This record gives sequence, C-alpha cells and structure tokens, in this order.
Amino acid sequence: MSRDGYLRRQRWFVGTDREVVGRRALPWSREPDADGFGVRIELVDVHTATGALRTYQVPASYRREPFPGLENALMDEEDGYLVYDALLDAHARGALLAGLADDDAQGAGRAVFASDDGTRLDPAAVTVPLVAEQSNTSVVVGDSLLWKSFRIVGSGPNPDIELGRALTATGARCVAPVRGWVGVGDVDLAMFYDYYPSASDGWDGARASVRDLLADPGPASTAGADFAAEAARLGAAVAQLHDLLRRMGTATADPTQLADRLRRRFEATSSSQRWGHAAAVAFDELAGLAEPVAVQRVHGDLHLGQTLRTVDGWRVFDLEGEPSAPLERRREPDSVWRDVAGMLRSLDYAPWSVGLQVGTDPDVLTPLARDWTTRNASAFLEGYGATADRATWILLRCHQIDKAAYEVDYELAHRPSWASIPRDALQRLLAAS
Amino acid sequence: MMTPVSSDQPPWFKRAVFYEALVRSYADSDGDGVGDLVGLTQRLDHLQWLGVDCLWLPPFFPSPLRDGGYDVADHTDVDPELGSIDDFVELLGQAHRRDIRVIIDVVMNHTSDAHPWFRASREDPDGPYGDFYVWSDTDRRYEDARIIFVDTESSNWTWDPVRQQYFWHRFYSHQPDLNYDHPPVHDAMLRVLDFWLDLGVDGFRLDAVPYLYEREGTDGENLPETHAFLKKVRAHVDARYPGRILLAEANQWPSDVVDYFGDPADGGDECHMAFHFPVMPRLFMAVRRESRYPISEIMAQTPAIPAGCQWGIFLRNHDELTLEMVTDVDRDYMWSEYADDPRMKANIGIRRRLAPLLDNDLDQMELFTALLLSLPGSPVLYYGDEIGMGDNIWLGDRDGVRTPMQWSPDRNAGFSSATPGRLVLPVNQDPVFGHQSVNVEAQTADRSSLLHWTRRMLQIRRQHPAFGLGDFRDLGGSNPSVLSFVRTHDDDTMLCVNNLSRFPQPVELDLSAWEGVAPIEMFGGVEFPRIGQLPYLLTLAGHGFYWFRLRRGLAGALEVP
Repeated sequence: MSRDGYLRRQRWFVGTDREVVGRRALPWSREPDADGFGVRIELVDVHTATGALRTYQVPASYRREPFPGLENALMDEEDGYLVYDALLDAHARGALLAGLADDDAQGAGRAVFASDDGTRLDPAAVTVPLVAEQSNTSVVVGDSLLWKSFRIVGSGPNPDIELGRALTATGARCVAPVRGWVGVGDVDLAMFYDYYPSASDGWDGARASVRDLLADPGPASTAGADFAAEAARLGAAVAQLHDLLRRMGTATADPTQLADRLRRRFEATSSSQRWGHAAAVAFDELAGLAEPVAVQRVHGDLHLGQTLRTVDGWRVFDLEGEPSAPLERRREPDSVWRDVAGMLRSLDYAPWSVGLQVGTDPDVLTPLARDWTTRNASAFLEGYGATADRATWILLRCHQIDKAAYEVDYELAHRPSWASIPRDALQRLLAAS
Repeated sequence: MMTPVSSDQPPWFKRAVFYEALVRSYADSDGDGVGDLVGLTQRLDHLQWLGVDCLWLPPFFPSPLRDGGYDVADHTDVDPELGSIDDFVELLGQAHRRDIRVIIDVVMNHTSDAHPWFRASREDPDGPYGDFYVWSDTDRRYEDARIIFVDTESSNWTWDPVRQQYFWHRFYSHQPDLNYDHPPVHDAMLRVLDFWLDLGVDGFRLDAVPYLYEREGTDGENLPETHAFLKKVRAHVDARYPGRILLAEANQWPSDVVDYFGDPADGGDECHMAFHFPVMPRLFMAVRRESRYPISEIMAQTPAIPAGCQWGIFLRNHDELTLEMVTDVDRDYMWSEYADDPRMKANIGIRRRLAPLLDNDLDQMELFTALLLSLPGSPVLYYGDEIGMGDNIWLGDRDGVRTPMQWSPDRNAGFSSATPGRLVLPVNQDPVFGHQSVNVEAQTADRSSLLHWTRRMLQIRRQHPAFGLGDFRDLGGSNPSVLSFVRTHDDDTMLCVNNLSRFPQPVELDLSAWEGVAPIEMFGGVEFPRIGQLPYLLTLAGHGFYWFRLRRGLAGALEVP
C-alpha cells in the first residue's frame, strides 16, 4: 500500500514532506456493492521535514474495473481494487454527498455535515471539480454551491470555516456566505459556500489590464483597461473585511516582538545574506515604534488570486491563512498591514508576470510596470482608507520585506526565472533605508 | 402580409428588430434638399432587404424645429416640407405590404410654444385651453424638480409677458409642459393617439414620460399620477387597437423603469416596451476596459419584467447619450471609471456615431452589433450604422449624427437631386467616412461588407426565438475579458461568447449542463467539438465572438453512414 506517488504529484502536497506513516479510514460513505464500487474518506499521515506529523484528507473510491476518464485520478491498486481520488470521480462525489446528506447514517466516526442556515445537500446535483486548484480541492455542486475539501487537516477549528461563519452571520458582502461545513470529531474536513459562476479572480483582471498597457505603452492612467477603479473597490472590500474581523476582538502587540518575529523569518531566507543589514535597520525601525501595534484576526495569506470580482463587487476567499502552517498559528491575531502588504506585493507581481511571459524588453517594461503598480497600489490604499502616518508606513514596508523575501525563496525553488520579480522589489524596499 | 395578431403567439414586438430613420435625413423625393415621406417610402426595399421588422420615425409634425421636431406645433399633421397625411398613409401601406411595422413619436409632456393650444392658453386664460398648461403667479413652486437642460435653462419656470404668469417647462423654455391635472388634456392627447392609430400606425414611442405631473415636495419624476395616466392610455389602446404598442422613453435606472411596464400580475398594464438606457454606455466601457463586469453588473441589476413586456436596447440614436443624460448612479460610476481617461471622457460626452467611436474598426463594429442583437431586449438600429456611416463633428448641436443617408457615391450621396448647398444638412465628405467610400450601393455590391454582414446577423437572429424571448444566464468563465451568456427559450438555446479585448483570448466555460452536445456555430454552421465533463475551452480572435446553437441530436450530421 502506497499512495505516495499520487500524493507527491499533487499541488496540495507539501514538497518537503517525507514518508507516509499511517492511514485511517472513516466509515464507508458507500459500502462496496456487488460490483465492488465503494467510497470513503481516508486520512493519510506523513512525516514533515522536521519530523512532525501532517495529515492529508484523501477521499478514495474503490472500483474493480478501470473507469474511463479517471486515469489521472488513479491513486493506488489494493486487494484487487483500483483506488481513485474520490473528488475527481463523479459517481464517488455523489456518494460522498449522499453520505453527508443522510441524517440517519451519521454515527460514531463518520463525517458530519452541519449548517447555520438549514442548507440541505442534494446528492443528485451535478458536480464539477474546479481545475485551477492549489492547496485544496473545490467542486461546484449544482450551480450555486462550492464544496471545498481541505487537503491538509488537523485538530481544531479551520479559520476558513470559523471566520467565514462569523462573517456570514454579519451579512458581509465582502465574502461568500458559508452554507455549511463538514467535520469528524474536532477535525474540519470541508466547507460549502456560495458559488459565483459569473465571477473571475483579481489576478486575471489585473493581468488583462497590464496586457493592454504593454500593447499601447503610455501612462497607466490613460490605458483603456485601467484597473485603478477596480483596485480602489477591492481596497474598500478588504477594509470591510478587516472592520468585521476587528469586531471579533482586538489586542495589541509589542513592536519589538513583532519586529523580532519578522527578523527571524527574514534571517531564515536566502535574502538575508545580501540584505541582512538593510533589513535589520528596517526591522529596528519597527521595534522602535513608541505605540503598541494593533492586532486582530486577519486573512493571513491575501493576494489577488484570493479575490473574486462578482457582479455585485469584490469578495475575498480562502480565509484559512497559509495552509502549510500549523492550525493554531494560523488563528493568531496579526497586523492588518500584513494583508495589505500581501495585496501590494501581488499588484507588483502582476505587470512583471505579464512582461516576463511576453518577453517585453526590460527597458520598456520597467517604467511601465512601476507606473502601473504605483497607480493601482495607490488606488487600492485609497480605497482601503490607509492613512499616511509613519507607523503605517513602517508596518507596511516591513511586511512587504517579509513577504518579498519569502517569495524569492519560493521562486528559486519553483520558478527560478521569476525570482527577479521579488528580488527587484526587495531591492527597492530596502534601498529606501 | 402582416402576421395576424393571435393570443397564443408571442407579441410581435418581442422578436422585432427596430430601425430608427429620420425622415428629414433619409431620402429626398422632390429635390428640395430635405428628406421626405415619399423618399422614405421609396427606400423601404432597403429596409426589407436588410431584415428590419419595425420602423421608428421621430417627429415629422409641423414644428419650429428648435428641438429636432420634438417641439411639436401640431400633433395631427405632417410638416409640409416632409409631405402630407396622404404621403404618410401611403408609407404605412407600403411598409405593411413589406411586413414592416411603423411606430412614431408622440410627445405627451409638452408642446412647442407655437402650438395653437399654447397660443390660446396664453391669450385667453378663461377659454377652453386656459388650463392646458401649468401656469403660476410665482416661480417658487415645485422647487425640488431638477433642471434637466442645465446648459441652457436656469429655471423650470418662464415668465410669459402675454398672460402675465409663469409657465412650467421641464425641458426648454420654448416647450411648455401640458397640464395633466386638467382632464381635457387627457382627452385631447387620447384623440391625438386615435388619429394616428386610425391611420394604421403600429405604436408610439412616448417621449419623456416620467415628467407628466408636478407635485410639491417631489422631484416630479415617476409620480403615481403619471403611472395612472399611462395605465389609462394603455387600456384605451388595448380596447380599441389591440396589437399596437407603447414604447416608453424613461431615462431612469432599470429598477425605476420597470414601473413603466405596469403591474406584473397582468403581464404589464402600462407600456409594452421601455428603453434600457444604461446598457449602451456599459458596452463601451466594457470594451474599453477589456472587462465583462460593466455589462455583467448591469444585467445582474436589471430586474425581471412582466411577461408581456420587452426592453428596447440600442447602441446609438439621434439623441446621443452623454454623461449628463445617464442616471446619477451610472454617472458616478462612469466618472469614477473614466476620471483619468481623456479619450473616454471626450467620447462619452460627445455626440458621435458608432463607426467613428470605434475608430472605424470593423471587428469592433461587428462585436458591438453582435452584442446588441444577442443581449435581452429588442434591438433598435440607427439609420446609417448598418453601413458604418461617420458623423460630422463640425455641425452644431446634435446635427453631426443626422447627416443625409449615404445611398451611393454620386452627388449628394444619392440622397437628393438638389444643388448641394440646399441640403438640409451637408453630406459627409470625410475621406474615410464620406459618401464616396461609405454608401449603400457599394456595400450592396460587396458581399463582405458591413451591410451584408448586418443582414446575415439579422437573418440568424430571426431564426432563433431565444434572442427575443429567451431568458439570460451569464456564464462567467475563467477569463474576465470574455463575456459569455446563454439565451434559452423552450428548446432553442443560444450560447454567445464575446471577446471584449483586442487580443486573442482563451476561455474555459462550464457547459456541463449540455454534456454530449456539439455546439453549432451559427455563422457558418460548423460543428464544434462535443462538450465533455471538463470545462469547455474556446479561443477567440481579438474582439471576436461566437453564436452557438446548443441542441441535442444535431451532432454527427457530417458523418458518412
């Protein structure tokens, strides 16, 4: 038995994780019948690089015969069964939904569906998996519900459900309303929220704007596909998100401790060699702030790809923080400027990502990209309502440094040709000191 | 002959393509330099060939022409320059013989100050017309009503030295408002409608309907009394002239405009149709921004309308939509979008025709026309746009988009045999848009012209009831620059995919509801790959679009048995 090969090919698998050390199966969502077709949720434990334990959720469908069209979803062969990734197997998805929808079948050790608003699941609904997925697997159910299965799971509330429910209760328009969730014991497995079939994400929208600018070089403000008005509305949506999360509680953090945490993270990156001194100066500035820093629940991993432009405005998704971090750390309060810095980094990436793909001459690209980013970052900050005080500026800068240093290492590991984007950003951020 | 009116058929106007022609600018039959009804009648073959279902004629009544004829001096006659009642009857007969219906403008809110009613009213306050207009000793009443033409008017009241009173006018000071609180005005206006309906017109475009009444403490728009009067008009027309329509010009937000359709429980008991104003600027914004959201948003904000009703949509008309004329809600949105975009500020604010607005780019003209013909509502074409006519920005007011129809490369564009100096407006002589390059004759001969293309599109639209009658579903999709939607009526399903960007674009669509269907592209009839379980991938050329028919059982027609 080894699902190893399949797991390692998935985007949601953490590349540095090591061997599978165990597998636990939940009770069958559907018992294998005469034909041998059965479905159940399984949890796979692996060792991380540091020897800790990480649990992946891997729903599995068991079949006697190869099923056409599922070649890429084959995980394993076992006891005369072919084992498929159940979330990619349409019949198995129906069986999983039927198991969740069946109130009578829920007993000890089973995954349980719950809802704040009485939403019922329809096992007969057409289900379509979304293709572009990263840390989770999402499936459209019917035409208005999204079923997101967390791939990395653990004990304790998943912030995506926890914050999503709290925000839904306020009637917030800046997130998709949560309609239900699935858990077993204290492990959250999946959530259901409104699906917006006519929406597309902010990353695609920003890049469409950049392409127009590159085709007709000039001031970003006069580009036909100017994005600034959207960026401002997006800023306002993020501000609303932060306001609502602030109502869940606020605290203060000692600037010194915050600076130390950022400093430690920075020192663990490859950028510390070249920029260690300049970064230390920047973090010292943060440590030297006289006033404590307000902290609260935040998104934690905000970028343009986590935002959706719907027909009635922007909505923010994936409130779960960084999925590879431990759950308890993902729930810690943080500075809102961490989220804002994430958006600014994303707005910096957008023009460069287009320019690098197209192969635009760097001499042409550089001024256009800077102009585009400056214009849209300003619009975003204005829409957010950011004030231009010194403490804000320092927090925003330090969080951008933190994020850019992380990005450099991410790019070096995955897309070395893109490493210049965060590296140049780091240089601009640190040359300022 | 005309399709008979029958209760189990959808009403004709729901599937009709309208065409707005200015009599004065369309064709001159008697060589006096001014287009006339006879000239228009002689050109009906062009409209029939193109595939027009209904002709809309803006005012051709006697008028001092200080507001393009909307300043009516006699509601029941024809401006002698344009012909006679007999000419109009002949036009109606010839149009109906070609299956083309005709609707005309009726201006209910006001008249010209040259109208005999107004002359009688100002000269004899106690006479039969004394209360036909809104008179007052003070100009301090109804102060909450905004001034619409802020550029020319400083008040909605103007002092009349003859009657020694102020009279009320929501538009120009030479256009006094009729007094609908005076019942004889109702009767007079219904007699006007009956006059034309008895001649055989198929309906009316009701100009400026939101402003019929005035009430203290209100903005004087969309008042309940106005709706009550429109219900009265509708009941009157339905009782005596079934099948004839009322088309409201109410330049308001769609959620307010729906009130002009009347009670949904009755399928609508006010106007059969109303213009949907915000669609047009949104189309321009969406293409300029290369983003579908301006369109998707306004479609999402458009409420359902009663079963017996239909929107009218347009790209351009005689009365160019400027930023000052869109609603406050949309003006704010447009300003925030275009605050720094000098090109769009200029274009939206200026009266232009479609072709020059789109840099004479054929791909864009085709995309805009495809959108006009496929979005919910009955499309209204503006004369000359079928050949991509240009405008003359050197002419004053709104005349730049009212230059003579360009029929041929000959003198006066074939519009008139008069000496050029006598023409009502000069023919366009621009090197790009002038009549020598842009005209009906040349485009008729050229099978790949915009004219032939437009005709083909109207033919396709006619074959598919989904366009006129179907519901609308925005499909979204992976690419924000691509607008994809499905129109469905019974078993007729059309998938429309529009690339709003000038660059080639891919889009992945969730078409799982049609799994197993092979889309048929409507322009060429080509069968596209079958829809499977995965998102359906399409690629589009810059400003390209597709109209697909989705229907089970059509695939495999090309297979040899």
